[in-house]
Amino acid sequence: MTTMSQPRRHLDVRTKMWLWACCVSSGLLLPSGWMLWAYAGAVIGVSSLVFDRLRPLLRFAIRIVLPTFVMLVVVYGFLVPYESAANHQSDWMERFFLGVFVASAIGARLLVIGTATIVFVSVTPQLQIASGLRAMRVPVPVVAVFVSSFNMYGSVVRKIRQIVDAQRSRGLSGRGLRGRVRMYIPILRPLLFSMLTSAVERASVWRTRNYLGMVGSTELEIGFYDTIVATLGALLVGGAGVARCVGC
Amino acid sequence: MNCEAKGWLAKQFPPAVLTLMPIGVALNLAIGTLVQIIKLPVFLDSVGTVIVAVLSGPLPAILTAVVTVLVGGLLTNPVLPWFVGTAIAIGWFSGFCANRGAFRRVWLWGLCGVAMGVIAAVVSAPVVVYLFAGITQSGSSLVVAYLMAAGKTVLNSVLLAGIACDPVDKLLTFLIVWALLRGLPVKLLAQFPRGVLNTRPSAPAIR
Repeated sequence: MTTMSQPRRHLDVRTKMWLWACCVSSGLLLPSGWMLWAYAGAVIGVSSLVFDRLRPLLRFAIRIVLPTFVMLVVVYGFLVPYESAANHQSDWMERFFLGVFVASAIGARLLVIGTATIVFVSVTPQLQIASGLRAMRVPVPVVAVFVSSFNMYGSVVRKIRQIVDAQRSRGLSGRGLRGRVRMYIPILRPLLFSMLTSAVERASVWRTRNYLGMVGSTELEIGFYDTIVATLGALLVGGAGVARCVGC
Repeated sequence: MNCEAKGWLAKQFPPAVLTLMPIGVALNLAIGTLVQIIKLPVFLDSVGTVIVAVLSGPLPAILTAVVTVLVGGLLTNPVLPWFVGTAIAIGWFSGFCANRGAFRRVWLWGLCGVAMGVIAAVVSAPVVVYLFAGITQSGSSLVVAYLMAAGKTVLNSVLLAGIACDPVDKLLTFLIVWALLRGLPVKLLAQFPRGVLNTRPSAPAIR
């Protein structure tokens, strides 16, 4: 029996990246009109078929696309001066439809970009994204920064929410602009201090492991003295072994 | 990659910088989220980039800014990666200002913040016009709408609104970074390549 999540197992990360890039760039390049709307519909339709979690898509549509759509209709449909080529009586209607047309075009573009990105992120684990970047010959430090940022974001947001909740429970609710600013300032300094300290600690761990920030992974080059010491050590152990055998 | 390039990379990105950059990215995204939680009328989404710029120079700051918009595009807002040009401009300019000694005087640093706002507005205007037809969810869209209603073209409206609103945001960002880094101990700042040099050059050497 086939499941909804089957395609994600069969696609290589490079294929996913390629699909995502194609979706987004063609959504950006298509001219406003029926082609763009049809394309947006196709992208959303196919995504909802292969992608079984629609919540992030809905959240994106409600939080970003819908407010932008409404504002565009208001601005282009009612506020922007528009000179009608036809008689003046149908002027307001033409303006309104112009607003709806502009808003639909921008909304369709945003939906294509958002849907493609959300589906790509949801079906691609971080490690796969990292290996895809490596396959694109992105330097190791950049990939490391990318993956660490990905991991760190969640913990930092959790930490901030904890601090904000603690402030609120102590009665610092931050009413009014001034109150909110006063609530904001004490959060930042301890947060920055703890994060910089952890960065220094991690850097010292890296240095301890002989990672000097170059491309590639940890390198341990064997020098002249290392060879001498290793040879002497091998001779010592070998000699001890021989002595034990001879003694036996 | 040859040895020279490797050495140059190692000099630009020592371990302390490599561990600082993800923190800059996380700070950018998290402070952006915090501002949304507290409902402040500004963005403040480049505090981490400016901190990296002051502590490590322009190149790590540019990389931090680029990774911020990429990770932010994948995690928070899918349209964020289209502002990569703005991110690069912010990283480069803040690193440039910090390396030229602007951080040592607060008024000079504030002036850099205002200039940064103008640069960010100019660089992001074409993206806002093409991708959003000039209207985004930010508060500056009200100014754009007013200017468009007054008969200005979309590009001019976005540009003027950006020049009016962005400097305030960037000035606040730069001042927050100034206040945060002034409060940190020299011993901690000395762990980063330009930490002491850019913030407190007169401080005694740490052993």
